[in-house]
Amino acid sequence: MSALYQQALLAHHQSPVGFNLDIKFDSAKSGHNPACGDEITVKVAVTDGVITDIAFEGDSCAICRASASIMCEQLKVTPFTQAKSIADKLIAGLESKENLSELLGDSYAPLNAVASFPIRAQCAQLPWQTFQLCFEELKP
Amino acid sequence: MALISRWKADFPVFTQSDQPLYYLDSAASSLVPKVVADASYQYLLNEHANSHRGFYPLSAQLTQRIEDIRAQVANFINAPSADNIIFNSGTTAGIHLVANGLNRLKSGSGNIVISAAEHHANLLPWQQIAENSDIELRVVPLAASGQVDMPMLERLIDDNTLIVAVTHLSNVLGVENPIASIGKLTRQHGAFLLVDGAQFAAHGKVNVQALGCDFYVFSGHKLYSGHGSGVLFASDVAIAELAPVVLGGGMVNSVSVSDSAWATGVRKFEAGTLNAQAIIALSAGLSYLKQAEAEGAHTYLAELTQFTLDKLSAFGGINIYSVQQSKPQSIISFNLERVHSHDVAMVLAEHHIAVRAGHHCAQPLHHCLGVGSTVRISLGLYNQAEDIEQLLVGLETCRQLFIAR
Ligand SMILES: Cc1ncc(COP(=O)(O)O)c(C=O)c1O
Repeated sequence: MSALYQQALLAHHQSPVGFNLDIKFDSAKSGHNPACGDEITVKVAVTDGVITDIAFEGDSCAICRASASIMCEQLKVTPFTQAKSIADKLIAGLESKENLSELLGDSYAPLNAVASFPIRAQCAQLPWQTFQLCFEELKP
Repeated sequence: MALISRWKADFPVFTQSDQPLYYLDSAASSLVPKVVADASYQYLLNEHANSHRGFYPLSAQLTQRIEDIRAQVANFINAPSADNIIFNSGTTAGIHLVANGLNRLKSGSGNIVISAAEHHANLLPWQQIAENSDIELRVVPLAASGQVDMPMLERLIDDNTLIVAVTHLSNVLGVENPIASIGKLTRQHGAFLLVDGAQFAAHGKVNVQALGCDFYVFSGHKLYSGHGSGVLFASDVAIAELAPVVLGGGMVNSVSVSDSAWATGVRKFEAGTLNAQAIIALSAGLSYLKQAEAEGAHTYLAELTQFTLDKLSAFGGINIYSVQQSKPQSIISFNLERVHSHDVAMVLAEHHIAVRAGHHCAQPLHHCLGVGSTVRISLGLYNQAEDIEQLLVGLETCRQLFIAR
């Protein structure tokens, strides 16, 4: 029905993982996409170099929200530095229009179509860029 | 009620492709009718030269043509004379000329009054003056009607007010401001009044003398004329106080390496080669619009706007930010509850519907509305009930996609 808004993406939009800022955290950062007005806050808790909890909240479009949901789903219980490298890859992959499920695995498939819409790719990048800010603050 | 456009066939874009086009973004740029494109084409083929410079017929004829168009534009807004009309590249450029050229703004003190509904083009230049001097920027809030709050305006204007700069028609709310009343108040305090007519010029009869404004600015591309032309009307008193901001060829009487004397009249505000192609397109666009107005365009568009508002209200789950007015003005901003404006615009694009989503270069106004962004639809001469029916189909898809049941 829609090239961009496929069922898998909409599922994340409608019941997002980690949409709850009420967690214990070590770093909280806000990100803003001036092009479309998306706003997001990301919080992470890290213990012994592993992400023990990650959450987000914000007023954002379905793409941003679904991407944030995938991020929370994928990065929880992941070593912090490995999470950072996933974020780097995803951001670069969207930039160069790569197939994200080939690059990072099937869980990222809902975002595959986004790369073909350059303006909206920014929306998908925003949660991950905000996560990078958390990494910069806490980096080992 | 037959809401079928008698003008749509004048716009070749609708028959150019086998894909349909439901264009609801005329407030950004209106589409171009064939007569305007033809005028541009004929100009490039047969009349192109550098105006105001050459002694040969091609240039001299073009100079005459542009001066005739100056008179046509003066007539379009009922300016006292063609000597009050300055050509430039658009509303943004026109406001810039005033903000940077007006002597009184160089005094370094006093205040400037704008409204909370201004487009960034009529906000940032004033903000910058305030940042770089002791001049204070005062922002008048909006009343529930969406218009400038008049009692607040009365309180904020005083004898130290240098200029009041307000929009004639909000590009987000589609609400018309009571400019003539604002003009009266402004004059009582000896301040100038600049009116941003970018949106209004396409939708109503402009009479700068009745409005009592010192400056009136608008852009050709919202008047069916394509890109590249803009008009700054300045009253005689205003011109006397305005210094040229852009300096260069064609604006001087005499130049030596140490000293120059500006040309008299409006030409001193038009340094460099004029965009004759755009000015000729503007002329054709204004003639086209005038004809359409004579054929009932304003009434048609008001009816179509009301039809749209009724349909959107009946659809349900939509927050409409435009306020009911006696004469609806072709611009409606809204949000589908719980769906981001950009998602709505993307899905509508998949239905071949062109709308604008975001803050429409009016972020402060969106703060007032308490939303980050809105979907804006704006109507032009080619629109008809069919466009609105298709919009509702698109919105229904949005509802099914995004709103969990
Ligand atoms: C109210 C208003 N003012 C100013 C502008 C700026 O016009 P332009 O981009 O033609 O300079 C616009 C158009 O976007 C507008 O709607």
